[in-house]
Amino acid sequence: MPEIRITNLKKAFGDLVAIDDLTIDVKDGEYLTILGPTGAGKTTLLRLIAGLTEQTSGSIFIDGECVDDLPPERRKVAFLSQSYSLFPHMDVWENTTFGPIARGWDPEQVEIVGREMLEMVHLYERKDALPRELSGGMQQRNALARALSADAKILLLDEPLRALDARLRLDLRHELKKLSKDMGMTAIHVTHDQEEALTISDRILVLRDGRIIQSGTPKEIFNEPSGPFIHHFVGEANFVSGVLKAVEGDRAVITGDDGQDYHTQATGIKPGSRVVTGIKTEFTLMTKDRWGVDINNFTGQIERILFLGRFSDFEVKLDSGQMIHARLPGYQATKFRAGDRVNIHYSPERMLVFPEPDGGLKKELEMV
Amino acid sequence: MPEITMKNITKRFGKVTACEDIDLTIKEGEYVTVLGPSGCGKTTLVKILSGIWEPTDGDCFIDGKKVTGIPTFERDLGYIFQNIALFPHMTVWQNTSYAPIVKDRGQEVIESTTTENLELVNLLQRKGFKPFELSGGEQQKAGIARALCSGSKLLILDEPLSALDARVRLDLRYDIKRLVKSKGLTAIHVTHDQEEAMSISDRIVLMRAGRIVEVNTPENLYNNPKNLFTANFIGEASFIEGRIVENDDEGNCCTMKARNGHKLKIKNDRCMMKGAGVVIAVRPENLFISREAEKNSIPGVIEEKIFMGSFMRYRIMMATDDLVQVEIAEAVDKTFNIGDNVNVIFRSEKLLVYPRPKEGLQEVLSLE
Amino acid sequence: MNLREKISNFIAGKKVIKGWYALVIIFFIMLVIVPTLFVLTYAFTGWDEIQDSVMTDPPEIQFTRVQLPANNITFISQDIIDVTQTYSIQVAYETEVEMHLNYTITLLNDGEREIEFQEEVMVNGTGSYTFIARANDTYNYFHHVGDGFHTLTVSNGSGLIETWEEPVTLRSGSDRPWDLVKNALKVSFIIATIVTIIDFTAGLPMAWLMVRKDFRGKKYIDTLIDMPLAIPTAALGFSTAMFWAVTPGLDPYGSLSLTSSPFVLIILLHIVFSYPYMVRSLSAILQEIDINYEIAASTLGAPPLTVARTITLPLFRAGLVTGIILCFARSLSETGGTMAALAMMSPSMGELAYPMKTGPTLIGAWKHAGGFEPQLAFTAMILVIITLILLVIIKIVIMKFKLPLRKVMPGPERLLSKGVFPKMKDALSFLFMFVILIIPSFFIFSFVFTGEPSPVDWDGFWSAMSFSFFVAAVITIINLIFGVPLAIYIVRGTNKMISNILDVLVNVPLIVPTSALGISLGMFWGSMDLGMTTLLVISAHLAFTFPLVVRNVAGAMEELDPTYEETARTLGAKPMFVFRKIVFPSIKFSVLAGAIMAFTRSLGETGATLAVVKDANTVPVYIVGLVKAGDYYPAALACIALIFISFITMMLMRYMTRKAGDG
Repeated sequence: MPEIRITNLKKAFGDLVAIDDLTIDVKDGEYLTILGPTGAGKTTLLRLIAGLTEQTSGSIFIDGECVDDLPPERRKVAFLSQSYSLFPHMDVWENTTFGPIARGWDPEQVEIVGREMLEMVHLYERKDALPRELSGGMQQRNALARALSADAKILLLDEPLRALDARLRLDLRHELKKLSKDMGMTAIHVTHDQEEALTISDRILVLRDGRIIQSGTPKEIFNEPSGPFIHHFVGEANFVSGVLKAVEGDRAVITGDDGQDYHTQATGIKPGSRVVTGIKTEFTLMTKDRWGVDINNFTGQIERILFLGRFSDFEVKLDSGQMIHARLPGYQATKFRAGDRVNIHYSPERMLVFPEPDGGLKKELEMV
Repeated sequence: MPEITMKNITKRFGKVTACEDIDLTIKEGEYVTVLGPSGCGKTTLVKILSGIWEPTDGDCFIDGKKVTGIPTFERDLGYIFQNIALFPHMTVWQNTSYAPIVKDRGQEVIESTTTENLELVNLLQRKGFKPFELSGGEQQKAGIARALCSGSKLLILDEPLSALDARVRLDLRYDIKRLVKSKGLTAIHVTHDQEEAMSISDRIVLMRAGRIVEVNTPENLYNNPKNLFTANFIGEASFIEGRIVENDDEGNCCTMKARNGHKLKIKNDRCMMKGAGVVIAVRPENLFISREAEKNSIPGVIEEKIFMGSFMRYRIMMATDDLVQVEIAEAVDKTFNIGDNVNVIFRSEKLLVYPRPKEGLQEVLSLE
Repeated sequence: MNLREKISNFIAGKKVIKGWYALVIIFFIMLVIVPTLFVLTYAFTGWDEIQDSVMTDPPEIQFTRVQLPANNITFISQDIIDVTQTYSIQVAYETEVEMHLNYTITLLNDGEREIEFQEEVMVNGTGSYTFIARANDTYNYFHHVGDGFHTLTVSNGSGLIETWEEPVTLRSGSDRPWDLVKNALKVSFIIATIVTIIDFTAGLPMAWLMVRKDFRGKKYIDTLIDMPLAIPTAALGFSTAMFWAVTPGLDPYGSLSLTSSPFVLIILLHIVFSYPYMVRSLSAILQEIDINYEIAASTLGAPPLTVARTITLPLFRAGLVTGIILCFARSLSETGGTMAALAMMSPSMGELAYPMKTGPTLIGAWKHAGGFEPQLAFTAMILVIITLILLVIIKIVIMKFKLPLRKVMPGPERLLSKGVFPKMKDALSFLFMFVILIIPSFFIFSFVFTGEPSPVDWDGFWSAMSFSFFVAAVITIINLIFGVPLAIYIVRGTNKMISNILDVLVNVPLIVPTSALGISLGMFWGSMDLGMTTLLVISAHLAFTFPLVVRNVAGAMEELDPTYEETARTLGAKPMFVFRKIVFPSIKFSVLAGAIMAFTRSLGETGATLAVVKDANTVPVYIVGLVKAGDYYPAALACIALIFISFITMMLMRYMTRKAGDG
């Protein structure tokens, strides 16, 4: 039963704390994604689990066994690095059977496993090719086959799609998840791409500055972000800072710093506190005519349109001077042109409220 | 005023042909993106335009003047690099002011253009920083300011966002589009990211294997691609193979028979003659699912259900043995689960029709 | 877990690996670093001797009038003979019968008496005779310096009548040894500086051409640049001197005979073998500089010259440091070629009488003369200290020094970047290479084909050759056994501080002049009293070739992405398996290249060999000996034989490394 338990894990490089007191439980067969901006400590975490770096403190358990003192080869954890690290002097077959041979399996078994894995990733007919003769996608599949044939039950994926073309990534996401599920692996996938994380994971951990700031299903992360940063990082959001005026039933009212009232979801925050409220751009409604309800209505002018196919993103300058974004599905987007006067509506049930972060909203949203 | 013409550009490296016989004209003030998978020759094209490489055959014209043979430093253009290439030993200010200094613009002009452009990208307060002290996004912004400072009206962007985090990319798109348009520049942007291409450009040049596949506006390429590769590459699509069994007199309505006897009605100007082998392509957002069979629907089983933020994506194996992807707004969706038997509803006017390719569908769609 | 697994787990265990690394590091420290720097201890243990024999003025020469009572013979003798001067002894006689006057100067050399000068005359009647001995007369006269006797015997037809014998000291010059050392070192450092500057000026455009330009025949030029490296410096010195200099008694077809200044000749010679190092280090770093920086600058409107000055050069400093240090150190430590060249310009002179001495040749001469231990130790010590200090200074200055980069001169630079100027620059680079490097290196062939053949002592040659090969082979094997793990530890070691220190230390034997290193090693092992010549030579060669292997392998390891090894580990491979299957296949060509470099360097080294034991018989020493003795033809043949052998090994290396590039 490959399950991973990480307790109070900490890793410091000199003064720099890369991983700060992490405690994580990964369930058997789970596909867990670690999402975070560059420098959040994602890769370090994977390397700690694989045994490639020694932690400063804390422990890692795999199947209930503490692996802190085990070298990487005895942890039975397959690690797929960002660049795949296919051994350049070995062909596809030699790469794939590296693990079984290194573990000293008998040749017949090596033969069977190698063949099975290569057939699974549709590379058996290319088994004599050298890595550099393969396309990016094939290299990735070969690396995957190699990782899977090494008898590991845990798959660690370090930005496995980063090196590929954007369009190819979309296809390979599915393959990656399917393969890991079919093999009954427990997978930890590291990425900076919030869309990738949403679509591929059973559960997402959002990491920032070496700490977990939220853990949940994609739906929870998207719809119930724990703070403005995630709200803005996973999807995109428009924000207003202000003071919480009152909470009534399932609604709250916030007086924005621009003087306008914003009606939002209910919140447990004490009225009178400084808060920020935000709405995902997907849920920001934009119409030519005024919205029927009388609250959260604003007017503005379209500055720019970014066409995205099934969506378009609109940059709208509100009359208050604030720049906001709205994302409309394709069939609605065609009605608008740059320069059009439009009405914007924030539905209160989509307006999430957070206490104003220390250091201000701008600093909170920085994606360094 | 830059207007760019490329005539019969061919570039060979030994036996490898990077691009062949490319003809392209870019109008003044236009934002053109050259899009295509890795190795399609798109970067070669801009390197030839900027004089970094000389073409094997053909000529480039800037403003009607032939530039073949003129060294890069005399071509008057701004170039933005994939790996950013900020001079590591210089501060942001020194980097940005490099072009006016080497062009001997005079102290006052140097001061004022540098200040102006750094302000445009919001980096003036970081002018004393060295590149390594900036985040990835800031580095590229400095790269953009540096290119703008050359004072040229022609801007070449060579995969400017590829090295950045996914989320940072989204934000920078707005900045680039704003800057280019507000300065009235002519821009050529190279990328493998179809979403980036659509969002930012006036026109997209889609390339594959050294040749131009299709040139059109993002909207036309997305909504009405002229060929199968385009349909698949620009936004995702599902494909169903079949044969025309019936067509009306006007030639814009026909019926296709897919595998296992299922029929689909198609309303399209490009309907084929009866008996023709065809492939239809359909975007995920143009499909619906329901429990009951309806007009123009094919039954299938839900294989996967993927949360994508404001909508849900279903992957459905239809009775025709074709896998289709369907996207449904999250607000509408509540009821479908993996394993459910459903009907996929096709809207006949949203189906794109293509003759069935001789070399096989997979070959034509291949992304690598 | 069965026994086999237990054992393999044990071997792969952290403790065993740590132990193995510790062993390698101890080897390195004890056998390479400590012996190399051991001479510095002499400052504490031998200070008195240094003061006595180096710092004090030499005693005034005393003249004594001697009267041999029985035979009416009077002469004036000196108790000290300055071998750089003409020495004359005047004998006045008043005799009735024919007398034989036999005058000899004998030197005590390791307890053996060696006759330096001998002349016999027959005299009769009244008159005087002057024995004149000039150091530059015949080779053997006053070759040695040190303590000995001079003897005058008087005999007639029936036998010996009288013998007079007095101790005498032969010394070189009337200078203090300290002044000698000072002058030699000054010459050495001035030459090294000039050579380095010329190398840099000529090497930079060449490196640029090799890395950034593509042209037909590039790979041949690439090979040509390395050629001088394949030729042992003794042979180079011989060949170069013949080509450029006025060499009395030797004027082969095509010789330019342009200079009679040893200073100029030595500079020309040192450029030949240091230039390749400069070009190589500059190209290496140039290759690492992302070409996109330069492209970026040119898209911003900077002409090539401006790009070079404002972008490339500032990013270049690390390469500059390596290049400068390598050239400087090579020039500073070269012995064999310099000795050969100097010998050819002043034939028939004792080494100590050459009009110019460099640090290493002074060491060589003193060592050869024998009896100069304090002076040698002192010179070596000073050389080591100054070199190390200077190198630190070079490093700091180059890394901190700000070239006037900000000031841009668009006009002139734009002009110089266009039209005929770049072509002229390229043409000059090639011209320099051919005239300064290639032709002088191979001029020796002209001599062999056009010169007068003379008999060759093949036995001596082959015995020298086999000894050289034996030494080179042994040190190559030892280098591989210890050098490869050390390189891996330096690059991959977990303790960054230790690996950084090792990284710096590894360079020490590379930059310490080899003759100083030889003296130091001789003292270190001499103090252990092992006494075996062969062992001493091997340990000396080990010390200065060890860095070559480590550097090469470390370079390859740095380029090897650690994720390969890490991935292999996670796939279940134990460290040794990872080394065999992943690391070694990736670095084997660099290992080979390092081994061959060590091998050829050992084959060509003179300074260290001479410094550690004066009568070691390696090929370069053998060649230098022949040249000094004026046996030019056999020397040339030996050179050519050595050139061919080195050349074949180098071609092999290039072939192998090129294959590595392809694979």
